[in-house]
Amino acid sequence: MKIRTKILLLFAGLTISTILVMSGLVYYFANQHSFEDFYKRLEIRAYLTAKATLPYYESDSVIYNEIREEHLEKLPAEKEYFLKVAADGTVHKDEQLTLPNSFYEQVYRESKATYREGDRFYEGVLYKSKQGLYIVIVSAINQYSVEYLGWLRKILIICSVASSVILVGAGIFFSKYILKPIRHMMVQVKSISSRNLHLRLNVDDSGDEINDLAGTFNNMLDRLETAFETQNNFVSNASHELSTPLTAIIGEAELALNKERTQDKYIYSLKNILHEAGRLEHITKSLLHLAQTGFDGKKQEWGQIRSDELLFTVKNTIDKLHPGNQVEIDYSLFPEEEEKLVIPGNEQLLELALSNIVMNAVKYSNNEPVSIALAATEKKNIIIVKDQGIGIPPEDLPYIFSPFFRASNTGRFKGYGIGLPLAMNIIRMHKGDIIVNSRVNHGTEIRVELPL
Amino acid sequence: MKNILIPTDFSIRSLSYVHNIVAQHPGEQVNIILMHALEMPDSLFDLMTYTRNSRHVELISSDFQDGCEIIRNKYSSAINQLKIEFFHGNTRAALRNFLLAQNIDLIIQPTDHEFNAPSKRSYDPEKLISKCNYPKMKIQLQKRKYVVDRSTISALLLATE
Repeated sequence: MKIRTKILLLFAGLTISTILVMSGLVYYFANQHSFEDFYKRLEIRAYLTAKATLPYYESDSVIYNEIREEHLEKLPAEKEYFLKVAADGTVHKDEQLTLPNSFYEQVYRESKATYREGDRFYEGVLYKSKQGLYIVIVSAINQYSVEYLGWLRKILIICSVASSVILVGAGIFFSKYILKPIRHMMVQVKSISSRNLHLRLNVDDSGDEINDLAGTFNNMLDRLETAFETQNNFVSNASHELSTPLTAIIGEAELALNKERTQDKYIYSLKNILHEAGRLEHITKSLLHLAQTGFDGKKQEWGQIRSDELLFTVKNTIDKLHPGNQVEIDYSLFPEEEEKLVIPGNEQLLELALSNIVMNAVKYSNNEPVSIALAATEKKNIIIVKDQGIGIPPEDLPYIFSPFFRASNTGRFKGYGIGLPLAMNIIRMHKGDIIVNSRVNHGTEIRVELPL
Repeated sequence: MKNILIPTDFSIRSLSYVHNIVAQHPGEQVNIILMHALEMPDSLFDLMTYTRNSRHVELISSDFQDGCEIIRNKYSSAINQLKIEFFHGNTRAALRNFLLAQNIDLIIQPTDHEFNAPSKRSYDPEKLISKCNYPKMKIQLQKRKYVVDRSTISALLLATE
């Protein structure tokens, strides 16, 4: 059974049963009360009749009869009986009356009793008169309360049916409303396939369980996407990263072989080749590492990293790859306590991500100054990379983390649109975030937040 | 230990005054109180349901909070306490009471009158502050070339450049 039906049944069952129990109780108590009321009326009649028929003084009889006639309307099928009680307590019974003996005994004992036979009600009272002890019985059909209860029954049934219909309708709406986020999520999840793994479920900040679930899904998608993309892009990644030093090696070798040269020149060339080969080795290693970690999350070497050391390593790497850069580390927000700078993570991956971001900053600003600042809050470390480069057009901003996407103003620069998505994936693996602020031709500011 | 008050509009920029304060109190611990001024509501119902803080806490952006923590971590030896307080009211007496309650020793007066009210009730307490007779310090921030966004943490960096 679908949860929606379950919720509907539960909701409808609960509310409808409450309403039914309530109507039942209303009917029962109304019924009970109408009896009492009717017995009271019969009792008054019995006393009046007795006083009128068996008065102490003859003159009273007229007055009582007058009261009866004028103020008491005749009840439907009203009948009166006077039964004489003998001195020993036996009652002279009327043949028309089919009342049980216990009734007479109760009248004798408690001086009044009631009895019901279908719609006909009997009230008996013990009356002491000059002529002796009498049991006066008045009986009538309770026409009013029969009608009244009939109406009540009708109203209650109609109300119950109507409210049940309304409740079932409300239940349908209610269950739809409750499960709307889940269905919404299902639609969203269904739309995600291997081709658009970068899509994420919408998470608002209401903090309920559905949002937690969406967050968990997004987390899973992050991991999936990272693995998927690293796998997909490994070849292009590798060629992207490897081509630069290879070109340098080939160029250097071709230049050296161009013509006969002195020994010094050969040594110089070989040194250059060695330097470029070293770069190549470094890149190959990091790429391989990334590929391994992307394929299998278990192989990641997770540890505690000092984020300031990370910045220095990145700076060193950039110095090696782009000699003559103007990357500066901004110390103005460094916290005083060193323990604020320890974050959990994989050093090589984070280094790869950060150096990608910083290299982009250097590349797209034509070697203008780039500042890297580090700040620590209680829960996260914030790394701010700021350049004075060409910036990112606002309409391109949402896509800069999609693989192979290149902003519209990057035509002059070499690149494959892999660096930033890779960095984003790695930062996401660390449960961090990248926030980009940019103005075209003024510069870009990339804020990397890594949780402690 | 000095209690120093900085009026704030919850922009990161207003946190930058802390750099100057710390620079001017070398070897001394200070308490910094960031004051945000709010007018009292006009309608009766609003007044009855007015709570002291809870509804205004959402004016504090998470970036501002991050900024506070960054500053606190940066000057952890110089700043004993850095807290945000709301000042409710717009009269001199109310401000005097507030300053008395917070035991303020020094008020920072920004000279550049840049105030972006984050809510309808927020106002720039500059006039009130200039009228009260507490010791004051005027601080001029460097002019920036362009305004990126009032909530970027990098605004903190600019002050020290």
